[in-house]
Amino acid sequence: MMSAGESNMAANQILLVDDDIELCELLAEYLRHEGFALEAAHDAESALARLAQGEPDLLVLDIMMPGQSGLELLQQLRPRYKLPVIMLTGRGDAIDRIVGLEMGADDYLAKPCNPRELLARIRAVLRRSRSGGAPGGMPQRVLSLHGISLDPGLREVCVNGRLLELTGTEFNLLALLMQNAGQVMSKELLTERVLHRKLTAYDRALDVHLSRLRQKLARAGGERELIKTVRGLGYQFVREGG
Amino acid sequence: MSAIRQRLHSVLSTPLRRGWYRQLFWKMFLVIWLVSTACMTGLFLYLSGRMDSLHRQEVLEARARGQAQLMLERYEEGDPFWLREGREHHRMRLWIYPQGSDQPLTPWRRDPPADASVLELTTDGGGQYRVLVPRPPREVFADRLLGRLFSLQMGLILVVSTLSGLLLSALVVRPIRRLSRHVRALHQQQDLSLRADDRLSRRQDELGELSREFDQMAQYVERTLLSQQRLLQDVSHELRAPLARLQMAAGLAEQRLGEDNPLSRRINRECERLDGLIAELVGYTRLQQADGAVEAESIPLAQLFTELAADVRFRQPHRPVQIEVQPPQLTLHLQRSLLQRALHNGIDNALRYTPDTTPLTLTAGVGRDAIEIRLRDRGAGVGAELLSKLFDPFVRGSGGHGEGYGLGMSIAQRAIIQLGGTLAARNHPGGGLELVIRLPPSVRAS
Repeated sequence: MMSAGESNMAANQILLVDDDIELCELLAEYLRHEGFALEAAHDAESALARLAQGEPDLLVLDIMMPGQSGLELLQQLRPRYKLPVIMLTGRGDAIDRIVGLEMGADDYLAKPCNPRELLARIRAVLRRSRSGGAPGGMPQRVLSLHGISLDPGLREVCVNGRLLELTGTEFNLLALLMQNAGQVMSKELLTERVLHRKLTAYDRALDVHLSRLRQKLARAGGERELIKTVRGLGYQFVREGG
Repeated sequence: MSAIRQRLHSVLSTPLRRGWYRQLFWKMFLVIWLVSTACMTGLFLYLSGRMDSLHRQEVLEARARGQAQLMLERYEEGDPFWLREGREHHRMRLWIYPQGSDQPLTPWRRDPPADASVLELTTDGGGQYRVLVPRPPREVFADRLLGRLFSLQMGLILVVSTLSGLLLSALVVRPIRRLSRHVRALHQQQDLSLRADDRLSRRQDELGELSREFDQMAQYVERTLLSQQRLLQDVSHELRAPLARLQMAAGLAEQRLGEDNPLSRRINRECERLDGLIAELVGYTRLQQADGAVEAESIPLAQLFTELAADVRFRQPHRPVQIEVQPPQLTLHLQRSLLQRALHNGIDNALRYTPDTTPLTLTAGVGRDAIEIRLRDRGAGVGAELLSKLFDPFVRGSGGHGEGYGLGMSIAQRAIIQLGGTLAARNHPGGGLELVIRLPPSVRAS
């Protein structure tokens, strides 16, 4: 167990941004036990200062903070830093969640949360980012459909020749859908392969990522609704000529 | 809190259209009208009756005096037919006595009636006489009364009492109606900050006082409700931080004791219960405040229902869920989270209290004056007592499984009210509990 912890510790630096100092201490102890190194910042400024010294592997961000809120911090942070972010939202704060995911958070968890659940999310997000974000069976070649070209090597998407800014999750989602164009992909499967976790009841994270992706494609001049909702089954990227 | 609202609701929703005789206006009108008509008619009849008899007496005496004068002139002249003097048809029977004598000039006649009136008379020749005039027989009372009742005066009396009755009742009833409309608005718009209009509260009379006192009461209720809400919100908010730490500490304990330790499992379960309760409380208090921050969006109901059905499949894979949306493209324009929350809580309730193989039906349709969404289970239904309290906070049914806090249904109701609709529950005649959401037609997306 010690050896596993040590081998992980080198790789997994987690920055926790939460104004509750005692909670940070408890969580640090918990995660240390699981083999993670946790640093804590108690407000947005110190979080930014810490990030300037070097990116940790993962950011756990509490949305509800006095002063500058987690959402504001996320907004400032996103274009500059690519590190994965898990946000802690108030329960029932559907809006915070949606806004957070739209601003490029990778996953969310309602706070107060079971530490075991948080640990599972942390592992899933880290796994995702460590594998280059590529879900299993990621395409190896450049995909081109309906004027959209997706380069898995460069992790770039161009719509009609223009570069489209996508978050890691959105990119993976689009890649998976384009590779399986014409097939209906269930929500369960997409959640497992893109978010690296099981779909749970009332889980709308995938839908939020997907609607965000649709909006971006439409704004970039995607010719029509390329990702169809197949009611009760899942989502489908329209086949060329179909 | 909402129990008060419920009661208020049941009081205010009793139909305004009661029988006309039950209305205050007509009651007051009738009383005023009857009393004033009776008084005025009585007075009129009494006065006119008195005037009448005095008048008749005078006429009678004048006529008797004239007749006696003529008779006595002839008598003093020595005319043997003096008794025949006077107008043929109107001749009265008179008893004439010379002054100072008890012997009448007509001794053959019977004695005069005792109530005859006495006149003193002096003839031109200087003779002094006493004349006894019998009273005329009374006219039939009913005849006289009838004559009076259909007179012009009586008509005037009726008109005056009707007018005054109408005017007085209107004066009292109109402001009361306005106040009652105000109270209804207060309740229906769920806005206790509404105040009675100036015309009412500026009045100097009892009604003005009533409206001012009513306003004060509304203000008091508003303050109390607000402070209760704030307290509930603060408490649940403040509980979150210690609970988050408690859960972390429980996680640490679990790490030390091992995941399968019953004690750590127990601690975790209690933490989750607390968490659930706090989440519901926060949701409840948040809905109490006008949640105008969320924008309305277009929601195809079929899609929403499919999502909800998928959630049910997750929790109870064996439960059949039937969905029907009529027309199939029915799309609403409203705050999604509110509708979703209400339906979710209703479904949650059904999942908790009915066997997991009984079907659940979710239908939507367009009624004449509302859009109706119905959620029906096939469980045992709900007892009458519980049914009436179903939407009160912290009311729980028995025999359910899983953890409930009794807030789900009141949150659902709050959410629907927020959307401008109503939520009702009934036992379906075909069995099972049915929740009926009625939304105003205006939420339908064009």
